[in-house]
Amino acid sequence: MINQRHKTLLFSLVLCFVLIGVKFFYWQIIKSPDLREKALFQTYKLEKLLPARGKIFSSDNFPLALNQTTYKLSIYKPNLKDSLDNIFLKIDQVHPDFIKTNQTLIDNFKSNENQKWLTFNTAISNSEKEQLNLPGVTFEKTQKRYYPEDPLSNNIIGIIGKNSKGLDIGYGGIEAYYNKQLQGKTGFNWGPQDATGQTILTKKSWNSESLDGQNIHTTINRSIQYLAQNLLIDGIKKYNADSGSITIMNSQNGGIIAMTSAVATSSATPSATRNPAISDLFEPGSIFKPIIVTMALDQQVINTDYICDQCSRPRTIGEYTITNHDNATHPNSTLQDIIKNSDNIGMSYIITKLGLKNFLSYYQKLELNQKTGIDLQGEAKPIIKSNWPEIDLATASFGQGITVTQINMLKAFNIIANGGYLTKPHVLDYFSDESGKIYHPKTTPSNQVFSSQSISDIKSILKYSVENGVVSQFKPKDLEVCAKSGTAQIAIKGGYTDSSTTASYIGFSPCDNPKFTMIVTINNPKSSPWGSSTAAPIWFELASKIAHLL
Amino acid sequence: MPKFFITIISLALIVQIIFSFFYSSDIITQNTNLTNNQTKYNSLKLEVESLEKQLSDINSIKNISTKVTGTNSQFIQDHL
Repeated sequence: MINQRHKTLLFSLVLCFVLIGVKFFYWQIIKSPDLREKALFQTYKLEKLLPARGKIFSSDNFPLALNQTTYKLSIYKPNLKDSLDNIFLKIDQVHPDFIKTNQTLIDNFKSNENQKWLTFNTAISNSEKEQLNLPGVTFEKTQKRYYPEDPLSNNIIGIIGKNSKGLDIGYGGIEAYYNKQLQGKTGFNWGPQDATGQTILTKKSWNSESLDGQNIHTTINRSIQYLAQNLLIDGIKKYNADSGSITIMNSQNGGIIAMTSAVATSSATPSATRNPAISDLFEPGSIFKPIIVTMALDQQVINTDYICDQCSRPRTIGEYTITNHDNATHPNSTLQDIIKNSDNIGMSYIITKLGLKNFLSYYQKLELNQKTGIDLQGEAKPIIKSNWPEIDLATASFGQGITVTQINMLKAFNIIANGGYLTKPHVLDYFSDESGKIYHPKTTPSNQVFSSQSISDIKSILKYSVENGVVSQFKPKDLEVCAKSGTAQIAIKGGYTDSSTTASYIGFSPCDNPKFTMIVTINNPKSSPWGSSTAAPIWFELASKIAHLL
Repeated sequence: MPKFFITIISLALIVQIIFSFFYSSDIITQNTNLTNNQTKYNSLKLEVESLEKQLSDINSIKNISTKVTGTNSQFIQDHL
């Protein structure tokens, strides 16, 4: 009997050991990889090291885009040690107007007993957070982009938003164009941690440092940007226009000094993701005339002694008749007078002498058939027609029937300011990193399109036109200007509207070694349709103010 | 002879325990220092960020044109 019980006991013990052995085998051999991985995740911590986004600076090194760490405040009712009213009063003392801003949310939260948790979107600063160390009040860290001069240059800077993966990405302007350089490189830290979550230094860890984004130093002069924006807004109101844009460029190197747009309805807040100066196409009108004359002079189909002996009457081509804006004619006009009087008839004869082949060749050399390549997101490509009947070539001489962006027009006109050399417009001056190291971008050599003689000739013509034309009344005495006004009818389906125009003024100052080239475009001014009486006064007022700032 | 070995082993054991105690204490101190320094660094970084924002707010043209009034403002406007 004893022997039997002894055997049973022994068998049970052996069975237990076998079962334990089997279980050990299961955990240590079969489940080993899973458990090892789980243990690794419990004892090792993966930490994402987020880089700081690069800042954007104006030409005077003032920050136009900064990073700001803020906190979202949350309240969990069950953990509160004080009444809700007192908690909100304390928060309001630390962050003024907190209650006023969130009044509806607070009222609903207080009246709804089933709602235990509420997060507020109000941005709480780090110092405010440290003062609000209250039970039941918690904070969530958030990163924000801050624009100190907003909305002064937001159509150039752009904004930050989330992409489909929930990551920060730039939209519009510099933020989008230089997103790769600005965002930097995310790092990680994979290391062992103790029970409190602190890193254990003695065990092996893997680490890849994050790399902060590069800072971008722009060519934007914020004082001039401010002046341009204010004068544009005032001009739109004064001339009862729909909208307008101003772009100012360094004549020598193509750096954009200011670029602003405004619309009559919300003039104070231009869009951050759409920049009309680079994305809106328009027919340039008479501001295109000096470029055609330069082409003709450069090709030597005319010279400065040219006289239009056919300008005594309108020109008829097929079923169309070319007239001047005031229906007047200027018999025997000199080349200077053709530009001064903005003579469409005279221009049509000049382009006929130039010929379609030469015109298209220069058009390509001036890169008017393509994007300028400015380092801002959202640039539109100009439209160039493929079929050129005689009348279309004639109207192209006074800037009708061709479409360009404002930046295209400025780049092409700046060739006269820059001695016949084409320069690429840009907003980037240089990059820098947090250690202060500077990286200059690669520069492309300028192409010479026009000879220095033809540039010298057209400059004299433009100077004469400004000093003797209708705009001379606006020109300050101490300012030397080479410029041209333009008024283009706005194209509608199958023709042009009689009631609305695009009024422009483009030029540079001084005529020799100019400091800046500027274009002002006013869309649909109702007080006067002409560029010479709307865009020109804005141009001269701005030019007189900025001349001593450059 | 065995007594001698037992004494040596015991001493070695005690030395090892004391050494590991100090060593681990050093690790804990280093870890604590690291955490404190990291917290301080992050706090200073936030402070710099905040000061940078305040400075740019004060010096922004937006602020100058709206907050500075009277003759000073006119002087700035005229000279811009």
